[in-house]
Amino acid sequence: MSIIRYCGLVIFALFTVLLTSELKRDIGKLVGICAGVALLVAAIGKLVPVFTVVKQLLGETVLAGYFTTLIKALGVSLAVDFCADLCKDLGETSLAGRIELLGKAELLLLALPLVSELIKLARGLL
Amino acid sequence: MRAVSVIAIILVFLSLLSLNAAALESVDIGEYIPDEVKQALPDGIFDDNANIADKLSFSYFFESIKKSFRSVAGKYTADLYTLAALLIVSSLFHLLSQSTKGELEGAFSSVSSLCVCVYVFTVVATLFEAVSEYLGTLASFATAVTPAISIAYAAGGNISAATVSTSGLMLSIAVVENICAYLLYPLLSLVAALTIASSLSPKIRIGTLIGFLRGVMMLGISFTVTSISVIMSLQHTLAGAADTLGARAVRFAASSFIPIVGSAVSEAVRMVAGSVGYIRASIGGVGIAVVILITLPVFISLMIVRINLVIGASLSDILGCERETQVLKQASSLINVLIALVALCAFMFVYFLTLLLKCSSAYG
Repeated sequence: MSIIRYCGLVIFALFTVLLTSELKRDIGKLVGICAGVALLVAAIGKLVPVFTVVKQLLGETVLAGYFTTLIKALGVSLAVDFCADLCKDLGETSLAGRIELLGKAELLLLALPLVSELIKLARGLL
Repeated sequence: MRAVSVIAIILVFLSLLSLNAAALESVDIGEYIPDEVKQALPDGIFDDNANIADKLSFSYFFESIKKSFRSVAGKYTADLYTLAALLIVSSLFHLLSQSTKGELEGAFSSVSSLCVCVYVFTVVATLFEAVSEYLGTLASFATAVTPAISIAYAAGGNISAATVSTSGLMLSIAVVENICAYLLYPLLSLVAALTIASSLSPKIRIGTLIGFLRGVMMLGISFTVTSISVIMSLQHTLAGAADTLGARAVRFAASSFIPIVGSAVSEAVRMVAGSVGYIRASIGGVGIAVVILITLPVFISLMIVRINLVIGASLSDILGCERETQVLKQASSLINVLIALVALCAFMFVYFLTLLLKCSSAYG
């Protein structure tokens, strides 16, 4: 699906949200959420071939490990940010804060092997 | 009675000459050189009739530099490509993560800079080990060759210079080893650890502290080496003058008080001293070549890695990765200190050997 069609879909969703908000606010928000999820899935679908090609180029080099970590970190960031935005749109700011905290904890967990490696290096130097 | 005294004087001088000949036979610095360096030396350099000046020519040193460069360049060029690829991938991910907001973007940025930090400091840690090994090899060679230097001085009548040079060289080795082991190396490791810590979070700002510690190290290294070199050259000059005075007094006594053959004996001693001068220059020349060959691989490795880090920092800056740029710049400045340490230690030992090379015989 081309980018023009995605733009068209977003404009259609926007009009739908505006119209349905007049009738029933909850339906409008649901339409917005569905459009957002669809666009996020489409964006991930566009990125997957890029990541696949880059991973193939990197092969079995030392970069492959770092690349996997970065992809996971990016995925966590985007997913958590999307959920947090949804929660804020629906008025649940505390829920948004909790999911952001969970996202940061997950990123810290991803960074843990790197931090251990660095501490080992620093200890070796000292 | 007069005949007895003449015979006694002649026997004394002959015994003095024989002491020099016996001492020269035991001068063999070949056994103190590391094997890989011995293979890099020109063929036949330890032969009796070797022409040292021809063998240690400019072309030989340029070829040695080229060989060392070729042996290390391949590995570190691959490291540069890996670093560049990591930075490009990191900047692409930064671009994608900019759609997230505030602290999540900062958290992702931390993960990205940690990846670069781990890679860079793995390379820096191997260089630390290489420099440590280099300093050990240099100190071992200098310690092992000190008796040969002492003998070379003594054989030419420079007894005071032998004492001064030997004690000065041993003291310098001890000072450099202790300063490196107990001050410089721990300080350098501390700076590296602080640099790693500062890369973990942008809120940890220790750039000023790192800069101060680096400045202290550079000052310490420069001051130590300069002081040792100045004191050594001063002592060497004074000792050389004292030896020359003593030796000329002996020659004068020989030519004045030994009848008939006095001047011949004096000239014979001068001729032997001249040959000792050639041997001394050969020992000095070969010693300098060995120090250069020991230093070249480490020095070239450090220079190439530094260039890689500078190129990496520039690329990271172009790609907009600020924290990665800071990590690379700090790692590069650490390498600067290592380069200074290696260069100054090599300079100090080359200077000692140059003093030997330039020292004229006391009898001449």
